[in-house]
Amino acid sequence: MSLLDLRDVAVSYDGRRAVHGVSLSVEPGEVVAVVGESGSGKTTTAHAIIGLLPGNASVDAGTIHFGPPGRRLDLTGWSDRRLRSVRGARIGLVPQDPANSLDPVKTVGAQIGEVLRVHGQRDRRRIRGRVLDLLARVGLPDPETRARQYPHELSGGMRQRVLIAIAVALRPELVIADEPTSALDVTVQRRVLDLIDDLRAEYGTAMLLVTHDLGVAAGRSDRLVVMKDGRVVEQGPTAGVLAAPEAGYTRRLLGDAPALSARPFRDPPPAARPAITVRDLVKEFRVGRRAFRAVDGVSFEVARGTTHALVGESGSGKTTTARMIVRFARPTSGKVTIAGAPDGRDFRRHVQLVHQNPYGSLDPRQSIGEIVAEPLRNFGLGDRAARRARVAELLDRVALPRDVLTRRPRELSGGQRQRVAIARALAAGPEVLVLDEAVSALDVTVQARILDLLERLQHDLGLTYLFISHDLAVVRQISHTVSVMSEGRIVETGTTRQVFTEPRHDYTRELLAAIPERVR
Amino acid sequence: MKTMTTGRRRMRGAPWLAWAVVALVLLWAVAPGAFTGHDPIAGVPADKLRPPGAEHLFGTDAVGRDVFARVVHGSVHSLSGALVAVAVGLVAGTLLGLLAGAADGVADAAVMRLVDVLLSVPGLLLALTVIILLGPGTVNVAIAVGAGSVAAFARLARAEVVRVRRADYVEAAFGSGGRFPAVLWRHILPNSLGPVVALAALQFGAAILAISTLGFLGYGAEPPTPEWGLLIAEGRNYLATSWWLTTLPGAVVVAVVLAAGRISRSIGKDRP
Repeated sequence: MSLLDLRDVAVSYDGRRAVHGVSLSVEPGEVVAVVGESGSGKTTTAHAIIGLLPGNASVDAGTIHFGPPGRRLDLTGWSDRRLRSVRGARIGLVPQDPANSLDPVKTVGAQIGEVLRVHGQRDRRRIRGRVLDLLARVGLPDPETRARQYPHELSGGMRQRVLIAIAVALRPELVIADEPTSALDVTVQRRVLDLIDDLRAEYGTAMLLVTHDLGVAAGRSDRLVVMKDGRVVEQGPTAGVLAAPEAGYTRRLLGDAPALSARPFRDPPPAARPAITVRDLVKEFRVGRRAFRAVDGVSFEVARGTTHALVGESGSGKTTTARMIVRFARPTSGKVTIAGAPDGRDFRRHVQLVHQNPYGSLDPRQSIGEIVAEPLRNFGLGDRAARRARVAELLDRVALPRDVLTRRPRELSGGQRQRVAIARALAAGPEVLVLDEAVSALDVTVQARILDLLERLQHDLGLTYLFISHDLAVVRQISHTVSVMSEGRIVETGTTRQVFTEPRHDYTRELLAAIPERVR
Repeated sequence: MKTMTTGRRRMRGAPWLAWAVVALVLLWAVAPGAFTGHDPIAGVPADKLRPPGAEHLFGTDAVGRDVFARVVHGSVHSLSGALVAVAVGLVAGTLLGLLAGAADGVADAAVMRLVDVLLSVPGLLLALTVIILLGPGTVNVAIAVGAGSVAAFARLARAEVVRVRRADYVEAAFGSGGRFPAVLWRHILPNSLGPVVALAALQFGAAILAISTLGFLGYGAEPPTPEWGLLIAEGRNYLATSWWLTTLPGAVVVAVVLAAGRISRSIGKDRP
């Protein structure tokens, strides 16, 4: 008999159905991964189990059974109060965002201790001992010190370890992990996932892993549940689903996931002239009295018409480098040369930046037509009719329908917005595009479309890309050459093929080890 | 729980009553003749100090003038005064805030310290100071009240500008080759205005109150102008015997001020 059993669970928000009759089960000690894109209802389903849905949501139908035979509970329709006896004690939750899931005004030790106290432990000394045990168990060095620290004193990975400690404090039979590593860097991500695996093996805990990352799901789960638009489209043993997906949607998801589809390397064309030359670039920031070197002597070249990727984890200085290249920041020393780029304002006709977040980079008050036409207006290119024709042409280029012209950004999806941002970047006819994590905020299928679009545009217009990313799988797919950055320095540069097949630096090897098997 | 939240939401969604009050008062100001047949200035001594009734909705005053007619005809003075006051505060305050938020550095600090000084003086005291400089009169009172709200507008506008200026789309606008004034005008200003407009609606109510207060103190319109504050001040002498002379015009002022506040809140909520 399974540990957790959902039958035809339906959830709606303000009367609008978001989850349509989902059935799934988790066996004791098993890891079930629920995968799907944003809006597929995977988090809603997970939250429905422990009654953590927001106030405007309601479970309309279905049953939720939990527990081993003999202690089996029917959680369906339980009040918040009754569910409290189950939450934490028998079902643990690892929330999505380690930055916001801890109380900022309480020490880490107090927060772990709270779980024990809430569930009946009263002896202070024992709580303290258990807290230190847990902190040590989740791999935090020097637990005594950590217990006295506040969340802001810890890194993202450490905070996620604390959240895991809270989730497993009472040795629950089931842990629900909602995107536990999405906000973390790849190497940290792997260590956290390894920790979860260890704890699971040690305590025999079952896990419901909610994730959008097929790479994570593939590597860590026994069974896979694929969701789309609030329905389960496919479920089965992970290996089986990956090897022979039945549903068309699963096949598309697998094909689009850069982490799982090994495309051939893009080798750089021989002997092209450099479009971007970066020499000994340094950027220092003042932190209090001390100077902090965010970028420390970076040099590389990008050949015309190729894509160069700058890879690294958060804080490695890759975005600062990009900002200096597009002249949004001034280098402390060193030189950036962009072949053929004029000085002054006309520089922006030659070099364009595409931001990471398509939700923030478009003015919410302007129509799409106005947004795309903005560079044309700024540079006084063409009259009104010519601009309108150019905007229509640009929308065609990025494969957006003409009727988006009069719409506002909020009416478009994330992928469509990123297309608008690309159309705007192309408007004044630049030759160099700097893409700062331009696909990181998008779902895999959308990501794949945007990457295809970028590739086609490069081919048609002869563009040179500098592609900033933390996602090696995406980098492998789009770039010709790669520079790996760590702590402000470039530790390795080469063609994508070289870097991926014969990494020379330890850090590169560690990064590569963190991405799933198939693309290596 | 559920009915409470939906009830609250309905109230929040439709401030129709507030809009109706404001619309009615605006109509009074535009076409007072359509609402009352009585003369607001010339009284009928025989009808003096009549309590409210069918003939005189708000009763009559000591010289037999219809109080309702005086309120209706007075609305134009109070509303236009409030409008001027808000316009002064809105334009001057937003410009100052925009300048401070966009300029950064020394100019920002200088403007904001000036604003701090203005904010530290009670509004009415500030308005009185300005009136003493300008001399009494309807327009001067309006300007004085507006000057008192410049600081609040400036501080809010600056906060919004500083927030919007950091947005990605502003950087993207510079990245598209935009010059500073163009970006300021096209992106920063429109996206900063939401809360400022909400404050303007709130200040409209506050301005009516302040203008009435100054009228009450005798700094505003000269009698026999039927200005709302003056109406209430004139009725004060008869408070013991004729409650309607102060209460009913006062109720109208309260209704308009509350309606403006209500509308302001709904504007603040509707904006993203």
